[in-house]
Amino acid sequence: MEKRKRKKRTSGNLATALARADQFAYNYQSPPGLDTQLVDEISGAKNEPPWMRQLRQKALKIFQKQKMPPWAPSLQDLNFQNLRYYLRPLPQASLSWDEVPPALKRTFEKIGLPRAEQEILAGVKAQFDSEVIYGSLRQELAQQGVIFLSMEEGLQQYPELVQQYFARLVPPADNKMAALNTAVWSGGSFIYVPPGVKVKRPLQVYFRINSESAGQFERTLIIVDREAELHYIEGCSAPLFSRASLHAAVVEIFVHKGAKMQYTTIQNWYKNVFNLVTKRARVEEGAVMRWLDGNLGSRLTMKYPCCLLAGAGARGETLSLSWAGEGQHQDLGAKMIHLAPQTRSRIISKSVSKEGGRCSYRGLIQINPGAHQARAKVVCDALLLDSFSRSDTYPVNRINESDSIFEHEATVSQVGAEQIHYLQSRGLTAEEAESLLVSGFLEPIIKEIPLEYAVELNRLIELEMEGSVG
Amino acid sequence: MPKKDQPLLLVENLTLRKDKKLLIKKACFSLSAGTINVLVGPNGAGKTSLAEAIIGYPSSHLTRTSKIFFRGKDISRLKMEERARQGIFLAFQNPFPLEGLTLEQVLLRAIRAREKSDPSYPRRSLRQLRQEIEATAAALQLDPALLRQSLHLTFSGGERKKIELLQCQILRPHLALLDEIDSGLDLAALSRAANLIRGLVEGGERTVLLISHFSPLLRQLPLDQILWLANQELKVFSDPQVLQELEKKELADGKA
Repeated sequence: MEKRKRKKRTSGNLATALARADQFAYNYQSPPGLDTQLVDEISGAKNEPPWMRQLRQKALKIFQKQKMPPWAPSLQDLNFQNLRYYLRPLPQASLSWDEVPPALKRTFEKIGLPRAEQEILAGVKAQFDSEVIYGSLRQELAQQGVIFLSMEEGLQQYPELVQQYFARLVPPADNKMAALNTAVWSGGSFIYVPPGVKVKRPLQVYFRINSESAGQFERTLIIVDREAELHYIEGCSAPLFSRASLHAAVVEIFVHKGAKMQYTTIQNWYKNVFNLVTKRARVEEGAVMRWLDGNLGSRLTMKYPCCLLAGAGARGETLSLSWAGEGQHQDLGAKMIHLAPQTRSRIISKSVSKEGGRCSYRGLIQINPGAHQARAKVVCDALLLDSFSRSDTYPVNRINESDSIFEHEATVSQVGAEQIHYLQSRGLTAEEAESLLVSGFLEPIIKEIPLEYAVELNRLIELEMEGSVG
Repeated sequence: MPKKDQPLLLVENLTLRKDKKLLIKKACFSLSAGTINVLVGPNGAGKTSLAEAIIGYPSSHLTRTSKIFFRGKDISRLKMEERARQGIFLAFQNPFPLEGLTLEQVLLRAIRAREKSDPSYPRRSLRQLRQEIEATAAALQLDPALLRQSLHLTFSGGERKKIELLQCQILRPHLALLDEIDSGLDLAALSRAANLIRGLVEGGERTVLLISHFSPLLRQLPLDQILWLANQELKVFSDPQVLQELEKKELADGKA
């Protein structure tokens, strides 16, 4: 095993908080590389029905053939043959908090996982590498008929429901990373909310990659039935690794007529993780979908949460927050596809770049013929903390209906010496001043995040800001 | 603790350059606790630069022999935030807007910074602070809606001055440097500002240095000392009557 190296302070702030990652024994670890045999092994280990095994094999072929899109940032440092595609830590799924091993609890505490048993939490599932090892679901949810399982459990217990929806919104051929995920997926959540059921408290999941060169390919499928409501929160953090890791998740969400769904992500992968994620929701008549996407970590993230506004009056919203420090590239955005009349969409993107980091906004607004009186609005604000960081915007707008309304606003600003001096004259250090200015810039998005996550996010941002001013 | 008879601020031998231009040569003066002082002089003489030098704003350069003592301690080499934490406040002539930050956010941070470094600084609860902020805003006839907006972003000239004064009132500095706090204020607002400034020095502990032109504000205040800065030279007058002569002189110089 390689020794873990401490990186210099500027890029390792979070690492120091998260680095001393607990060592885990894995009871199954696949050898590096990917072939049909491994795909069969994964499917076999999970005891899957034949259709899933066939889908995996088909997806593998697509992955091997398909190329990344020409506009995609370089993945040349990512050697797919060196990655391990399936890991399963010991012990396996625990039933209650008491059964969770102390070492694991300490890790959960370190990353700030809210105690699952606490009253405010509806249910917590934490994914540790590839398998859900701890999960709890409050009885009241079960009584309401809400299904909240790992994807594997979902497939075992509700095979027909899963087959009806799985890979329908993000087929394997959608993109190379979606194909890879479909071939080797492991873990993730399966959620079904029955008609009219309003889940009051957010369901939360913590993801972590915990092994060097581990790939994590969780697969999440959420079905919010008619007039139902759900808020799902996914928080990610990964400790220090010496070689590049890959995270390629797929999330498919079906928001049925009149339903409401919010999907909140706090992504804080360590700075060598490639985070290439496909997220898509289909929003039916009068339904509302909101993606709240906060990205602080990773070396490269490519993620463009999409809403297919399929029913009349459907609404989609993406609030995107990105942070790029030294060596980081956040290539983020959103897609809003208006397929029906009176659909509305809004994209708000706020990015902060510092120490040479790069944030790109890549967005698509498509208003199809027949989507009468559709309205779309995009607001992109970028903040640069120094003169050698970078921000770019790549908006694509396809407006095919003349009675639709489309607005786009974009600003780029820089934290100025005058602002920092002003705050210093009030007794703040230059670091505190910069940190406060950044939090003010991000405030409109952070206020949309549930309190305990907002607190954590602010703390992470403060940690990131440390030592950034000379 | 500073001694009773020692001045709150003592400036010795202050020589100041900005953009390589000599602005002030060997200035010496002191400000006593509980006094209102005024710094006057023609445009471009360096009044703002002198105030900035006292709080340590990094735009101007002092020579090594320049000394600034605050409450008995040499602060000449301290950073701006350290001086602020010891109780020096500067109301900016043209404050820079802070997008996304409200007055309360800035004040809370400033107060926390003061609390950390000064054990004698009064501790106030958030509720008390909010009440004080509201009361001060009302005393200055400041629209309370502004308190929830980005600081200085869309404020008018007069509103900016009022917000700076409000901060001064809430932060309770030992030394308030008020740079042209009167410009852009109408006569009614001027008299409210004068009330606030008189209140600052009540109790004899806090000190005000006003930077001004010959404004009606000065006529509403009991002035203890006049500092006149012109041609790189700082002169100190203890008789406020001298203001009228200086005003005439400035007018005459302007015409010459």
